[in-house]
Parts: sequence; structure tokens; C-alpha cells
Amino acid sequence: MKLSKAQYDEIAQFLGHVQPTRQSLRKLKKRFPSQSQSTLLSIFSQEYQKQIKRTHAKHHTAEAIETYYQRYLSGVVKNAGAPVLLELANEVDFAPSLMARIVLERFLQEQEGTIPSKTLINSMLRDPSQIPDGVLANQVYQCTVNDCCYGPLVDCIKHAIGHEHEVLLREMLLEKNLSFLAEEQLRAKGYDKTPDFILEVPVAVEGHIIHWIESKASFGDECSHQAYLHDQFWSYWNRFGPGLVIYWYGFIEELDCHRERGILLKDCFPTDIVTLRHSVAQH
Amino acid sequence: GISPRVSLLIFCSLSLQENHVHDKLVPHSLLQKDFVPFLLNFLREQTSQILTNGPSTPAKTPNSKVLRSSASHGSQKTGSERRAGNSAGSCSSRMQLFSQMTPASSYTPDAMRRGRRKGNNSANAAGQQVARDIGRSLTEEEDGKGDSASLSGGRRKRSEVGPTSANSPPDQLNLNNLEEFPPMSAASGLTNKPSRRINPTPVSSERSHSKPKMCFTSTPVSQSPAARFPSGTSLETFAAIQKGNVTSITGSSLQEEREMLKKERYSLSLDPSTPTKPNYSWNGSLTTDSQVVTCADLSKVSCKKQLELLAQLYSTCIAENLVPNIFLELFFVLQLLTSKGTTSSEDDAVERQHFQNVHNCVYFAVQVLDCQFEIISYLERGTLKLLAENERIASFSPGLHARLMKAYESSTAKVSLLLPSSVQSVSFQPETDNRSNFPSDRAFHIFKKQRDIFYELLREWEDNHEKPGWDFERVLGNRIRAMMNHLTAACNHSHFARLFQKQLIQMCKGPIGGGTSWGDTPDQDVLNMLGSDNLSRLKRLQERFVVPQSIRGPCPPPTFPGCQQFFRDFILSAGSYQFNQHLMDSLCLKILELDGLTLVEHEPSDGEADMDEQDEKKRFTAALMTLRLLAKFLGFLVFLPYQTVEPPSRDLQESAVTLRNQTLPVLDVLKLLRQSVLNRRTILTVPWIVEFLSLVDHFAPFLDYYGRVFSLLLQLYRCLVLSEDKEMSFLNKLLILAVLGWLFQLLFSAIAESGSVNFSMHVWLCYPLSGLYMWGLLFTPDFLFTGELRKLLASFVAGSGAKNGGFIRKITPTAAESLTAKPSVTQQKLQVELEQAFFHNQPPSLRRTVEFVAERVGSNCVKHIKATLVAELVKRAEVMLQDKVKEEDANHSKLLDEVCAQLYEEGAQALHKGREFCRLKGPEAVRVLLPEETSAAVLNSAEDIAVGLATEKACTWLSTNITALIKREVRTTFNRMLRVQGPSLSSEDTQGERKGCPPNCQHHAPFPSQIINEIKDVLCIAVGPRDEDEGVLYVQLECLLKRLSQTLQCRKFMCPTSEQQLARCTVELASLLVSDRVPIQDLKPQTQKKPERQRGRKNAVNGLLKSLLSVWKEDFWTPVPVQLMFSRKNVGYIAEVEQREWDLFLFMLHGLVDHGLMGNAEIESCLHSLQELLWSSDFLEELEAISRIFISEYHVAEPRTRPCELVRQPRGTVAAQS
Repeated sequence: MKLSKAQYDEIAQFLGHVQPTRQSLRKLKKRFPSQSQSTLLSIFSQEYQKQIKRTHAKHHTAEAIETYYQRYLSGVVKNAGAPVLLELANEVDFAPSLMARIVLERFLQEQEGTIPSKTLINSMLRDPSQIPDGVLANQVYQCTVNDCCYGPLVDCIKHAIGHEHEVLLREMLLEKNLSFLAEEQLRAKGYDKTPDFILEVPVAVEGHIIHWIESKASFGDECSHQAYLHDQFWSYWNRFGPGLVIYWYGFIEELDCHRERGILLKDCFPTDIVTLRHSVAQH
Repeated sequence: GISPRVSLLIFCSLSLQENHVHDKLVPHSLLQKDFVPFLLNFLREQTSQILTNGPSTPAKTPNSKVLRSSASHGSQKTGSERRAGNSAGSCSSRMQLFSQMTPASSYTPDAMRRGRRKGNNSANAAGQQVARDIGRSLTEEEDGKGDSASLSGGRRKRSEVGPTSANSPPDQLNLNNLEEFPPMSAASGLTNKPSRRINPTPVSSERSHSKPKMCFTSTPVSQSPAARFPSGTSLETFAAIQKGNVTSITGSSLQEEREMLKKERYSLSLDPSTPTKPNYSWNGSLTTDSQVVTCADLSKVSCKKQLELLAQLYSTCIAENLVPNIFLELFFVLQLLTSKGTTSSEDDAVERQHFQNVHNCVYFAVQVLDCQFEIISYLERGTLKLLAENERIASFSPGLHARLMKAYESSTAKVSLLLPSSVQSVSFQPETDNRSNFPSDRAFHIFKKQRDIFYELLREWEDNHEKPGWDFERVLGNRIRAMMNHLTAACNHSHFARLFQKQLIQMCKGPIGGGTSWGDTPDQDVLNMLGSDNLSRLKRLQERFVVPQSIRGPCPPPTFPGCQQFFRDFILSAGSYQFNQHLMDSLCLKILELDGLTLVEHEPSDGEADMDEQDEKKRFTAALMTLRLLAKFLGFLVFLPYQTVEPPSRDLQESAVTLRNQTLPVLDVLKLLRQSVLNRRTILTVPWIVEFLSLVDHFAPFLDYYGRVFSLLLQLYRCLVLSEDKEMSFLNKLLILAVLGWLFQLLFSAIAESGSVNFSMHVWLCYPLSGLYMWGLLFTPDFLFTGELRKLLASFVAGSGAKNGGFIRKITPTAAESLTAKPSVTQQKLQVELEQAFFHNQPPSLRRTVEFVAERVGSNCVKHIKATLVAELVKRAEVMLQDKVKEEDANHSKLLDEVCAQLYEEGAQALHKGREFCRLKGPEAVRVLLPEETSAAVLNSAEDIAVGLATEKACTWLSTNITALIKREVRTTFNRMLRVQGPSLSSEDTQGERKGCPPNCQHHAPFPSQIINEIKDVLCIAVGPRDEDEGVLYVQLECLLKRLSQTLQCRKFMCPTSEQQLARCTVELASLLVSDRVPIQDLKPQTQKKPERQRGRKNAVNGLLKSLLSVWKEDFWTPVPVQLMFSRKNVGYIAEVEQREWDLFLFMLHGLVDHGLMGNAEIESCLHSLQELLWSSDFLEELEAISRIFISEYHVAEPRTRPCELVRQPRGTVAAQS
């Protein structure tokens, strides 16, 4: 669903400084009942990520890390069953999953005496059962489960959603009889940048020729769209010509400004498709 | 005054027409030599008055005039004022008219010095100097100092040849001497408004007050040609240059002029005072300053006889290519035709009598047009229409009018209006762009980035370059140089040069240098003319010639219009030697490729050009346009290092020329030019060579090499006398004359800033080429009158005597010796001849088809071998490698070599299989592509040739590359194998048997992401923190598990990560259920008593666990990490509960075993290791008890119902103890 910049700003403003919990999400849905849940969640997530990016450094100073770790230790000593880490994260306005990471890293550093590898940390966050300390394992798990913007579970859901929409798009292309090359095939051929689908025969969508389609199972806000343009869409254009981006969870209307130049935005599979007619063959 | 002219005419036409040289005439040659410049000067001089008085029809300074009249003078200045001012100037020049006749004398340094004037003298001097020096160098050559092989081998040779070559052109006139082509726009006298002289004329100081001079190029003369380029990387100059195509450093910029001109035109078009009186109808619209314009009247013409003679004389000069640029002359004539000046009756200057009024001017112009009707009739339709509707022509010469009308009606020549095409990128082609084309991953990766940066810059330029204050170098310079540094570091220049060149062609191949959205609007004049049924038609016609093609004038210097500008500025900003070198390599290659295009001759036919012919024309046009573009850029790059801002001094020149004479040219244009003359392909080659040469630096024309090139071009120019003959079409000649005329004008003037699209070029190039299919030119021995061309003729005669001698073979058999038994040389030769003969009498499409099929089948053959034989070998290699890799972790590259070596022998089969493939596919394709009426014999031959050529192509490639190909493919596979080895192999095994959704699956199951999300929500509530009343409804859980099962069954939307996450989540959920941590609501009616509720609750949870177990067993494809149930964390859930629930745990243990998810022993060991962890002592006891129960049960192998009974006891005990 397309949102005007103003509509989007209203939502973003409401999100201001909310915590990434299901409670916040519930409030958001109540406030904007006309918007789809997925759109709201996507915007929520993006807004929260922006907020975190702004404050990321602040939470990673040596002092901050030490403070958090000590507070965690004293907290669990008092009551190991209490949501110590989660509450700490909420208190300092930081993502629970990221707080869990900081404390886990610090914990392992103390235990092993060396800085633990990223792989190990990631693996433990994904599966807290591997964490040698039972209490910390519970605390970490509580954080990752309750975080609706960061963490392995959320990442996985996002990945799954992305994959599902790619499959949906593929189905629609097949249904429309539009032959395409999918990302895997393109990779195998050695393409350096690959959109989700390259149409073997270009089509016109709403009067614009397109050569490729990229599926984005998220909301297209300014920030993410700019990043996508720079890292992906223009790169596709540079190699394959004009194309279509489908933001399944909508986008800010005003961002659809590169149509003439060859980047088309849609929030659903287009209906106005004109294909090349093989008039010669028909005769 | 008539008789001398008449005798001159006779003298001249005698020598022109009879082509006859008498030794007696030699003393007169000087006179003859001087004649043409004299005539041209005379005409300019005579008409200066009338044209000067016109509103916007100055002969030499179209734009400046327009500007002046609109900007500075406007309508305030009266005609008489202007006249007064101008006549002073013209008088002074007139006085010198005869004394300056000889070009040589006009080039004296003294004259030059006098010619300099304030404000713009350096450029004038530059122009003069270059013109002078060109002239001088060629004269020297002519005097015998030059290379003996040079074209203008001098009079010595001529005297040898002279008497015998009865038909030789009038070389007595010394027309191959550049000096006889008077530099027109270069000369200060010429560019100066009052003087219409052609030769550089010393100008008196009287004129120093005049406006900055404007030359034909419409740009201020104050800028030297070198200013087109910065000297080295001088950024100051750069800034000046790239501010649009035409920036003047000291004078007003063309941009300003354009603006003003636009305004002017606007005001013209809006002129409401268009007179309705018929007498005024055509003139009125011309009037910019309400000046009353004389109506041309035939009856008022004086000295008709003289005018007719002059017209004849002048026409002869044009027709015989005695003028440096015939289009310039036509331009002049049209100016006369449209002149509107009221006559200066008070001006009684004797010499001006012939052109003292508009009537005379028009009479003369119409006379000349009548003589030049043939050329005129080839003008594009729009222009023809305007001419045909010109009332002056109609009233002065009804005959010409009628012919023009007829020509207009039958004309099909339209200026093509290209639609603005949006910018397109160069597509990524795996064959040239994928990893295997790069030396390293890093280089590949860096180039990936560079491609994106390049387009980013391009887009930025596109968006901003027209904004005021935007500066290419300032904004993009550093980014471009950073990019160059990366390219250098990664040795990626060749890749980038290719991309750059492809993008250049893609964006700029159109006639106006790119889509209209990119700067230059496509010829507003033409657009205007298309809907021309109003009174401003004549004004438009006039404008068209006065300010042809966006005020560039008939001889604009080369520019980089539209998006070409981006590419030029990019090169300048990059300032990278490596890049330039690679780009030049790339340009040369492409130029040679396009120049070698097969040109097919078509007999001119009455009917519609058939399809082939049209395709041929399209192909030709495209090639020609691209060649010109590329050659321009090549010229730019080649001469860039030598460009200087200031014209260099003579001393400098001598040493520079000596130095540079030692180096070889980047592209041997002389050779190509000679070949093109030989092969009768000048129509394709000359236009691009002209573009290339249009960018020469100050010194290049003085180099031996380029001197020869220019001489040859000059010879060519002189030879192409315009007349319809069978050997070369009129239009072809016209095109060549147009481009050459332009180049000569440029060189002479050497004051060049802008406008690569020549007025005439544009018109001719946009002509739909209806006559352009008589390619090349055929010689007759008489045609050759100098050593160079005679040599060419000798080789031509030896090479081929056939009329179709220019037959060009694109694919020449280069039979690989290893492949085929080699027939004797003579036999081979015979075969080639036979083959050629075969095509000779067939339609050209047959040849193209065969070549095409051969090319494609050959290429497909290689692909086929890759996909079949090589793929098979690679598979075999994979098996071999897999075994060996397991044996020893030893040397991988050695292993690879060994395995490959075993395969090479079989690789030799490729040739055999390739041949088979071609034999099979070639004939098929040929049969499909050739018309059905093709006779069997022709078809067979065509098939055979196609197969032969295809086989040759494929096998040549295969024989040299097959081993490398096998090795590369095996290595890639091997690397992939090494990477993949390990976890994924086993998981593939476990999934091996399963395939997709169950039959009739509608794919309506919930998405995996949805289920993960829902499970996450449940986990959230279970793990907490949660509100008091928060919980999960039992039905909700039940439903969730049911949907989980559906989701897992439909495989459509499932991906490995989703499934793994589902597995992990459900194990977590199970652990939380087992420890009774999930706040399940709405279990049973509230009224029930506590123990019953407990039991009901437990049964309900058991139900959920059962569902989970079944899903794990039945629906998951990936292994479910059920062991996690025994992790410290998950067992801890039980430990944390005050009233521990072991029943559910035990139930789960049995379930795991019963569903085959875990074995007894495995569970035992899990329980065992659990006991080794740190627990509270009471919990440890319970754990041990449970362990014992589980073990005993399974060792006894009791029925399943018992465990629960047994469990109750220990639980009771535990509870009591705690």
C-alpha cells in the first residue's frame, strides 16, 4: 500500500521512542487500524533500526559495556528469574538482542580471557543452549525472543518473508507466461549483480519498459530505498536496463520518481502489462 | 570590365573542360592560379554592401549580425548609419583587393601584423598562421622538398605526365595546392563584417572599432582552437572549455549568442506586423527592425549580361570543385537570394555596380542556382519546399521555379527526426564480464564497483550539467580520478575502456550526438519547417541558411554536443595515461572493424528498394555514424597531448615537427584512406577520417605523415567533380565533398570551437541514402594525374579488373592446418575463387545468410561442446577428484593437473563432435533462411560453404582452447566441491528421497514466516515477562500446531532457514510445555476441582506434545534438534519451577523414542551428561530418579502405559521432600 510522505511521517512520529516489544506493536496497530499489520511492522522495524543506528556507538563504549555487565551481574544475583537484561535494555533504550550480545560478549571475554569470535557469539545467540551459563542463557533467550526488531529470530522471519515473496512473484510470472532467469541461474552464469528476476523478453508495465523485477518484502521508506537504489537498483539498471521493484509492504509514494529513467515502484504485482506481440508469427 | 572576365572565363573553362595542358600556357598558370580567389573575393566584396545592409544575412558573420541587430543596435540604428559605418571599412579593404590578390603576399608576416586587432588578435593570428603554414608546407612539398611519394609530387611529375594524359583535370590551375583554396573564414578580412574578402587581408586600423569579429563558425574568433583542450591537465582551461561546447575565453560566449538568438527568433516568430501586402509578404517576416525591404524586381536588374557571365564563371568554379567548400558558396548564394538590403543608390563605387541592388543580387543568385540545380535538387524535402515556394525565384526564373517544384514533389529526402531516446546502459554480458574474464576476485569485484560508479557519475551529470554554476571538474573530477586510481591498481583499464566506448556509442550514435533530452534539441529549424504553410516560410528558409542547424554556420568546428560532452569531460578529468591508451586501442579496434563492413553494391533500380537494400542502407548509416563518432574521439585523444592554448611559435614548430616525424601514427589513416580509394569505399572511410583529422593540433598538419593524408584528401576532393555518372552516385560524391569541404575550411581557418555537425553534413547524412548505395569510386586511368594516385591505380589494375572489383570478403578461409588435410595451394586458391564466383552472381542476401549461419553455427558448436562433452568430462573429473581428495589432503593443484591430464585425450573428440554438429545444424539453418525458390544446387553449395566456414571457425577455436577450457571448468567445479564439502553433503543425503508438496497440494498453507512469528509470540509469553492476565488459548496452540504441520507439508514457500528455525522454535516450545511454563488458558470449564483440572491440563499438554512429536517425525525435512530438550537451559526450565512436573518430561522421553526421533542409548547418555552439570542437590536427585525410571523401563521393555504409573511415585516423594 502506498503511503504519502505525510502519512508516513505521522506513523514515524508516533513511533518516536518506542521499545521494540509486542506491546508497542499492539499500540501501533490500534493507532493506525487502516494500515496492514505487515506494513506497520516493517515501518516499525525500520524506524527502530534508524534509532538504534543513531545511538549504537553510545552503547558500545567501554564504560557503557562495563556498566551494563555489572548491572546484569548484580541483577541476576538478586533474582535470576527476573528479566534483568530485557529490562536493562528497555531502560537504556537499546535493542534487547543487542544488549544480550554486549553482555554475552563481555561474559565470554571474562570466562575465556580472549575476545570471542563473531561466529561463536552468533551461534550462541541463535541457540542459547550453547551458552555455558544457564542463567545467562535464559536471559539472552528472553531478550532475543522478546525483541521484534533485532535478533536471530527476527532475522530469520525477515529472510523467510523475503523468500516467500520471491516465490509468490515467481508464481505470478509463470502464471503470466513471462519467462525469466532467476537469481541462481544468473549467479551460475557469473553475473556480478543479480536482481531476483531478469525477464528474458522485456515487457512494458504501465507504459514503461522493464527488464528485471526485484521483490522487496518490506516497506520502502526513504532511507532503505536510497540504500537499495545505491547498492542494488541502479546497479541492476547499469547492467540490465530499466526494471521494476515491488515493495510488497508498500512505499512512500514520492519515492516513485525515477520512472522515466527506469526504476519503477509498485506495491503489488502489476496488472497493466504489455508484452511483445509476435505479429509476424501470428500471421 | 567585361572582356577580361570573359576571356578569363574562356581561359578557365578551356582549361577546365578540355583538361588540356599546353606548355605554352605554363606562364599563365600563375594567372589561373590567382583567378579563383580573385573571383570569390570579388563576389564577396561586391555584395558586402547589400548583405551588410540586410537584417540578418551577413555573409560571414551570420550570428554576430543577428546578435548585433537585436542586442546592441536593435531597431534604433538606422540603415544609413550602418551603411556609413560599413562602407568605410569596405572601402579600405576594397583598395587592397587587387594588391592582395596573390595568397602568398597576403600571408606575409607584415600583413599578419597589420591584420591583428585589439581583443582577438591572437586567434586571428593563429588562424592566419595555421592557414599560412599549411599552405607553406604543402607548397614546399610541391616544390619537391616533400616526400617523393607524396601526392602532390610537384610540377616535375606533372610535366612528365602532362602531354600524355589528355583527359587530366586542370592541374595547370595548381588546384591541388592548398593555397588556391583560399582560407575563407580564417581570414581576418573575411571574418570582419565590412570586408567580404576570402583571403586574409590586412585590415586597416579604421576597423578596430568594429565588434568582435565573428567567423562562419558563429563563435568568437578570439579563442584559439587549442582552447578546445586544456594544455595537459590545466584545470583553468578545462573550466573554460567544458562550460558548454563553445566557450570563448575573451569574447562573448556562444551560449550568450544562443540565448540572444533564441530571443531573436522568438520575436521573429511573434512578429505581429507581418505585412499582408503581397509585395511584402516574404520580406516582411524577415524584418527584424521594421526596415522596409525592397521587393526584388526582374525589370530593375541592371547589367544582366555581366551578371550572367559572372554566374556562369562562378558556377563553373563550384561545379569543378575549384572552391574550397561548395556548400559555403551555396550558402552565400542563398544569402544573396534572400538579401533584403535597400540599395545604396548614393554609393557609386564602380566595382560594386553589379551588385548594387537587391534585384541584381537576386538575379545573380537565381542564375547560379539554376546552374547548380542538380545539387539543389538533392536538398532535403523541407528545404526544397521553401525554395520551390520562394517568390523571388518564381518571378525571376519561372523555369527554375517549375523544376524546383517538380524536384520537391518527387523528393523523398527527409531529415530524419530521431525521437529522444532515453539513456540505456551497456548490458552485462557474461562472456566478457564475468569472473573468468578477470585475473583475480579482487579485480572482478573492483570492476563491479567501477561500473556502478561510472553510471552514478553519468546520472549525476545528466541531472545537473545544465544547471547554472554546475562544474564538471569541480563536482566529478576527484571522483573520476579516484576511480582511475582503483582501475590502475586492479589493472582493469581495458574493461573500463570497453564499457566507456560501448556507452559512448550507445548514447551518442544518433546524428546529433545523443538523445534530445541530453542537451541539443534536434534541429528546431527542421521541426519548424515541417508545418510550414504560413508567411514565415521564407524567414525560415533564410534562417535555415543564415543560422543553419542551431546557428553553427555552414562550417562549424568540431564539438562534442549533447552527451558527447560528458565523455570528453570525463577523459579530461580522468587525465589518465593508462585509460587513454586503452581507450585508443579500443577505439582503433572498433573503427577498423566498422570500416571493414561489407558494403554491398546495389544496382540503382526504378522500383522500391527491396528489403535487403534498405537493411543495407540502415547498416551503412549506422556504421557511418558510429565511425564518425569514434574517430572524433580517437582524434581527440591522439592529438590531446599536443594541444596548446596559445598558438605555438614557429621555432617551436620546427623542432616539434622534427621530433614528431619520428613517431608512428596511432592509426594508419593514410593506409586506410588509400585502401578505401582502391576498394572504392571512400564513402564510408572519408567521413570518419575527416572527423579524426578535424581535431588535429597546431603541428600535426605539418608532419610528413599527415601532410600526405591531407594531400590525398585534397586530390580526392578535386577529382570528385559533381556530375551524374555511373561509377559513383551523385550523393556519394556530394557527401564526400561536404565533409572534405568542411575539413578544409576548418584547417584553413584553424579558428574552430564548436559544432561537429556540419550544416551540410547534417542534411546529407540525414538523407535516406537513396543514392548512397553506389559505393566507392571507380577509376579511369585518366583520373590519375599524380604519382600517388597513379601508384594506386597500378595496384588496382593488377588486383582486379572487374567492374565489381571492390568485392570484399569478410570471412576468408584460414583453414587451420591441423584440422584438415591440406589441398595444394593452387587448389585452395581455386576453391576460394570458385566460392567467390558462386556468391558473385547470387543476391547479396545469400552471402550474408551464409556468413551469418556460419558465424552462429560455429559459435553454437563451441557452446554445444561445452554443454555436452566438456560437461560430461567435468562430471567424471568430479567423481575422480572426490575419491582422491578423501584419500589424501595433499597437493590440490597437482591432483587437479593429474585428473585433467587424463581428460585431455578425450577432449580431442571435441573436434570430431564439433564437425558433426556443424554438419547437422548448418544446412538446417541455411535451408530455413534462404528463400524457398532457391534452386537445389545453389542451396547445396550454400549449405556446404556455411558448414565449411562454421566448422573452420569452431574447430579452430576448439583445437586451441579445448584443454584450457576443460581445465578451467574442472577447476571451478573442484573449488566448488571443496567449498561445499562437509555439512551440506549430509543434509542433502537426508533430504534426498523427499520431493515437493503432497499430491494435489493447493499451496494454501500459512507461510513459514507467519508460523515462526506465531510461535515466537507464544515463546514470548511463555518466557515472559508477561501481564497478569496474559496467556495462550489452548485451541490457539492446537490450531497453531495443525497449521505448522500444513506449512511443513507444502514445500512451495519453504526455505532451509525457515525450516531450521521452525525446528528450533518447536523444540523450545516443547521444552517450555514440558516444564509447564506456557500459560495455557481456557483449558476446561472453571468449575472442575483442582486435581481433575490438573489431570485435564496434563492430558491437554500431552496432546500438544504428541502433535509436536508427530510433526517432527512426519513433516520436517531437516533434522530436528531434539537433543536441545536436554540442554542445561531447557532442563533448567523444569528446575526453576517450584512444583516440578516430571510426568510431561517422561512422556516426552518416551515419545521421542517411540517416534524414532532419539534412541534409548542417546537419551540415556543425554540424561547422564545432564547429571554432570551443576544443579541443586534436590533437583539432581529427581533427575537421577527419572533417569533410573527411564532406563529400567526400557530395559524391562514394559508396555507403554506403565511409566506414568511409576512416575507418580517418585514425584510424590520429591514433592514431599521439598
